[in-house]
Amino acid sequence: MEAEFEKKHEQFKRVFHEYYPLLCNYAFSFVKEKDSAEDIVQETFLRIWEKRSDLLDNDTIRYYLFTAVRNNCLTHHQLTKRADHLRNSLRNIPAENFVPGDAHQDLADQRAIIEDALAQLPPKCKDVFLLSRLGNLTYKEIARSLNISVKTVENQMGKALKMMRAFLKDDKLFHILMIIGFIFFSQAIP
Amino acid sequence: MIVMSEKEITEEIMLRHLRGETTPDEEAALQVWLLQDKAHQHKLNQIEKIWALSLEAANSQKFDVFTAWEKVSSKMATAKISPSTSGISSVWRIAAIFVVIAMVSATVYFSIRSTTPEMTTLSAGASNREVQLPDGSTVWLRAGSQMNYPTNFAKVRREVWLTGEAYFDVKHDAQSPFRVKTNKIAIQVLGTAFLVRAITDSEQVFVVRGMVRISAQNDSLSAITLHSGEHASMIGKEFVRDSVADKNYLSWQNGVLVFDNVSLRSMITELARYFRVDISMSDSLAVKSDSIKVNLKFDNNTLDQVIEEIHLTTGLAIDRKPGQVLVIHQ
Repeated sequence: MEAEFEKKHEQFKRVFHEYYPLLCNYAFSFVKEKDSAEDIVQETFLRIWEKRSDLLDNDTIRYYLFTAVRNNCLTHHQLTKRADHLRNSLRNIPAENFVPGDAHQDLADQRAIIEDALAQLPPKCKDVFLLSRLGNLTYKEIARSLNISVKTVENQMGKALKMMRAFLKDDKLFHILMIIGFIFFSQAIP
Repeated sequence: MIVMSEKEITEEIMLRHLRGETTPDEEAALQVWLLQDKAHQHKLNQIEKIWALSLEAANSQKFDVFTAWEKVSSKMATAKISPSTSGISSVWRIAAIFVVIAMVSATVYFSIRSTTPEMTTLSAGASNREVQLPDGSTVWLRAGSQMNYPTNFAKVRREVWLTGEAYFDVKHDAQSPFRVKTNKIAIQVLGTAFLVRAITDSEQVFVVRGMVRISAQNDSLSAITLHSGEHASMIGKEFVRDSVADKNYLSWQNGVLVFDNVSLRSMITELARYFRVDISMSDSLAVKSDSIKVNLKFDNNTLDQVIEEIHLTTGLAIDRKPGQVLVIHQ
């Protein structure tokens, strides 16, 4: 009985260390605050330990972790009544983001541009992309987690890549239009 | 019958191609598309770069997992694990015993259909060895290296385990990615040619042709992609990549040694390693050996031919002593 507990504890520790930073970054994309992100992730882990430790040696633990963290973020979101993230991030964009860069964008700059682009993706698009990139979930798992079709997941991934590519190209007019286009598009979909 | 129009190559298809997850139709369409225009390859490279950068971009905030663990584990001591999941309840325990018995019986009566595939082991002893895998791929094993793979290779998975050093020339098969596993690295390719060096602590991959995706053994999120002419080594837990600096990394397989304006000392070291002989220099020569530059190329030459060539081009004399030892002097 004790050996069983020890084994579970070790598994839990390993899973925690492996996924904690990724889950925190995932949570951060929703709550925009490091402390809140960490609280939510830690609480999620504790709940999994208390109620679903049977998942620990399962391959689907990643799916459960990311889905649970997102659900908890959304609950937290409701409780603290924050404004829509997209509207916020648009308002706060410093002017530099739209200045055309010079031909020599080095790697650090490019990563910063991708970071910007990510932050400005429409919520569902960003969620899909992060689940794939941070969570390494399959399209099937993402579809299930978000209750959408696999085809939609494919489209959202493509959309995310398109937008990030546009940001890299640094076409000032193009990505303003894209953002406007996305706002209209995402608002049009119920 | 509806004739399908040419499939549009979307960013998403490009991404799945980079991850080795396209269907055969999609892969074929993509290859055609790549040939149509140089700009298409450029676009694919951009998507690859975006994918690579996006992980760091998405994972940009730093979190202290160790402090967090302290916090969580201290709370765990007081949290209760609910009885239904804490141990195995007695009903489950009995079911487990039955399952175990059933499995034992299965293996006794159906040992041919065991789920763990039978493995083939190939090793190269004192000399290099060229082998053909069941799928038509060729592998050159360097002396002292060993490779294991499921005997049912083509049907199970195209997967091999390697200790030592080997050069792979992989047959393309979009439906079945070819994987190489070493102690620390997992490599995935579709069809290409590359060298893996997994000796003691140093693990490196050199790509000759095509593209490979490598990741740390237990961490698929650490994956990077290497193209022809690129090289990566595993330093600690991370990959460090650069273009191939050591031009002679494949000399054991193709017999070609290139010394392009390198120091005499470097050339001597390389020759000693390649021919497995001891080469020492006279004191007066040793002092100058870093500053003397040489330009030589050897293509499948014997040691005697190499000695002759060095003598002709540099004027240096090389004496062969008993027991695989050479001495160079002026």
